[in-house]
Amino acid sequence: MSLLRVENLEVTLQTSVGPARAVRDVSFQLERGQSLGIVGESGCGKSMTALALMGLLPEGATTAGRVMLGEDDLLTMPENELCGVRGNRLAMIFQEPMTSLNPLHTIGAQVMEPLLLHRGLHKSEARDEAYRLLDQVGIPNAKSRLDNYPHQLSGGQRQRVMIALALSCDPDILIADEPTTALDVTIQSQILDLIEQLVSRLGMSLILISHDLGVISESVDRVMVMYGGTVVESGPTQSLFHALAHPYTRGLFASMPRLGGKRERLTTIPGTVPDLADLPTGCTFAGRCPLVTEACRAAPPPRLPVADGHEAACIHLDLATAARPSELFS
Amino acid sequence: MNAPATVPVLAVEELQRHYTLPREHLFREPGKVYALNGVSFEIQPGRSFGVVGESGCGKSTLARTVMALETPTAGTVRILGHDLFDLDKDALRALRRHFQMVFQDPYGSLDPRHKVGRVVAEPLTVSDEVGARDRVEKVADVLRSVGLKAADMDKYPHEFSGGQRQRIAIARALVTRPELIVADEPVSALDVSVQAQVLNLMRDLQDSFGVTYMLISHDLAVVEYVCDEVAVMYLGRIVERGRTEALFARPSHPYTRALLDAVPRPGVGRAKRGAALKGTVMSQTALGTGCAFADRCPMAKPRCLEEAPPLRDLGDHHLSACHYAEDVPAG
Ligand SMILES: Nc1ncnc2c1ncn2[C@@H]1O[C@H](COP(=O)(O)OP(=O)(O)OP(=O)(O)O)[C@@H](O)[C@H]1O
Ligand SMILES: Nc1ncnc2c1ncn2[C@@H]1O[C@H](COP(=O)(O)OP(=O)(O)OP(=O)(O)O)[C@@H](O)[C@H]1O
Ligand SMILES: [Mg+2]
Ligand SMILES: [Mg+2]
Repeated sequence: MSLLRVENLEVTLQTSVGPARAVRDVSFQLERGQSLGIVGESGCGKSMTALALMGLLPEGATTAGRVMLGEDDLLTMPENELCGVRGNRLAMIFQEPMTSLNPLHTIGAQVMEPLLLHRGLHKSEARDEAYRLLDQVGIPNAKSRLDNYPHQLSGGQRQRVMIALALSCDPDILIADEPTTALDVTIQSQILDLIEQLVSRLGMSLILISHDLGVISESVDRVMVMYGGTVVESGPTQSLFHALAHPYTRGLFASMPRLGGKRERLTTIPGTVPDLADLPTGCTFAGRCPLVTEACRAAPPPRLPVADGHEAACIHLDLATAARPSELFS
Repeated sequence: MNAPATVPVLAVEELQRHYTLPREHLFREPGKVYALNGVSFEIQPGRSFGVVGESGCGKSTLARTVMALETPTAGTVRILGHDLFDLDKDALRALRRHFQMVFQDPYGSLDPRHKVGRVVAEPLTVSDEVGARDRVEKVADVLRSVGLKAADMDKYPHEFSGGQRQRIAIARALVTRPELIVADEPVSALDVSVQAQVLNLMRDLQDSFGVTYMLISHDLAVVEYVCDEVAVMYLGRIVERGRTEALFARPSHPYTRALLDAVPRPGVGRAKRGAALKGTVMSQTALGTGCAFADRCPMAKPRCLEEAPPLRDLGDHHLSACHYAEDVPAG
């Protein structure tokens, strides 16, 4: 049985302009020691999917579907039980290091807290362990920096404190929401190596949210591409990168600047994401898709197979894959 | 294009910034963080200058000092010829409309109590007297130009995703049409398709209004796309500087080489990550002798531990602070 099974997850948020359907019909499974990457347009619901698993959605949010961790449905679990699950089995590296660290407490105190609380260490042991954790994520002079407040650290150092915090309780599942955006590439690769070791040695499972397609391609077994709150394409990393199928995925790859490439104007996908409070009936990408037809607007597209375990929700896959991505959107 | 007589939009000279750490022990001197240790460069009008380097090497400190949000320990910053730390309050406020910053941390920099329309219009209200109608129009325009909707004006910052908030921060910096924009990781929270829109917009603004950029980014491809010139920093110093394309194609400092080797490239399937740099970053709380990169440098020789390499001119606008710059492998 899978470690984590997400079935038809829906998240609706209360906004000042009415209810917004931030996540719709998202399903996936995660085995022990497996890693899943989530990519997609900014605002497409990646963080909300992650927060739904953690039971940390914004106030007023409602959910539907199931999030099964073993036998337990996390969506219906009472908060006090969920709190225990969060401390021990699920951990998350949040996208916003500054708002998730308490500005009034030293980083040492914040890293030590779960060690004292969940792992029952003594104060001096916890301090040594906190030092080890910060050192492990590459914070220079970690010992002397335990007494620093978050504002005294650089953006990337704060992000590494968050990573140390998430790893402190040896979680079964680590959800990492843009964990390396504030890190330079050498430290990024050090952190990704560290996470990979935990996955391969300790059998930790990983959900990695990132818009760095390079990071995704190097770090996960499976990839899920989201657009407008739902999954438009998913498959094994190898297969997906080898045969990008959905027009949105193809557009995404075409917009990426490449090191050593020509400094030509970057390809963009014209238009903006649909309003989540007022979603179209058919395909959510229809308003921006160069291949759109009447049929796309009429009904949501079915998920069609592309290759083994690789599927895409588009009725024009043949046309989408025939054109080069940069041609599709020029 | 640039006559040698033009006043640089930004001129930084021998900038230093040292932070004092909290006292650990009553009778011991408090520790110091040497965040900037003598940084100098100039940016000519309408050019883009990129800053890359190790996390914690002083990039944001440099940006904040250039924006006069922090006072340097030593050195000068001139914007359009004015020495920032020699101006009185009013003169500095008047000059501020000419330079704006996009902060690395958009969450902390957007006031959660105000609607987006007000947040974005904020620099306008201090800088120029525009009518209310005009202001709404300007805010709507600038929101659209970063890929948001005019209707987003009436929402609060917390109702947006990470990347959307970053676009609000960018819109706010653009709204006064400043001459200099200092952008600290402006696109790191954006997915590549929105990133492409913002990068194209940055270029368009440069083409039509001659905006000058100082861009801090960990994404070397982004820096290469936007910037004419780039500086690579390591532990508070510039270790290499030059024309972006030439420098990335043929780096002359082993740290730059390591950076380029670590760039993840989306390939077919799970490619193996490039080998990470060995060793830990040298102490930032003490100034050593010799080269600051020596203990992690694969090319280090005894001389590197004894003698600090100066930033020297290799010709063709390329500078490197490595004794063995000529021996850095081409990759
Ligand atoms: N607290 C909130 N109240 C109302 N709407 C919200 C709230 N937080 C986010 N949203 C909206 O929900 C949608 C999904 O947001 P989410 O944070 O999951 O996006 P994301 O995919 O993580 O994007 P990014 O890559 O920019 O972080 C967005 O359109 C956003 O505007
Ligand atoms: N207020 C402060 N007090 C003490 N130390 C500080 C303070 N602000 C920054 N520092 C330290 O100065 C150094 C440079 O920080 P800075 O934020 O400039 O780094 P950065 O290059 O922007 O890094 P990143 O890429 O991670 O954002 C870091 O070691 C940081 O911990
Ligand atoms: Mg997010
Ligand atoms: Mg920074």
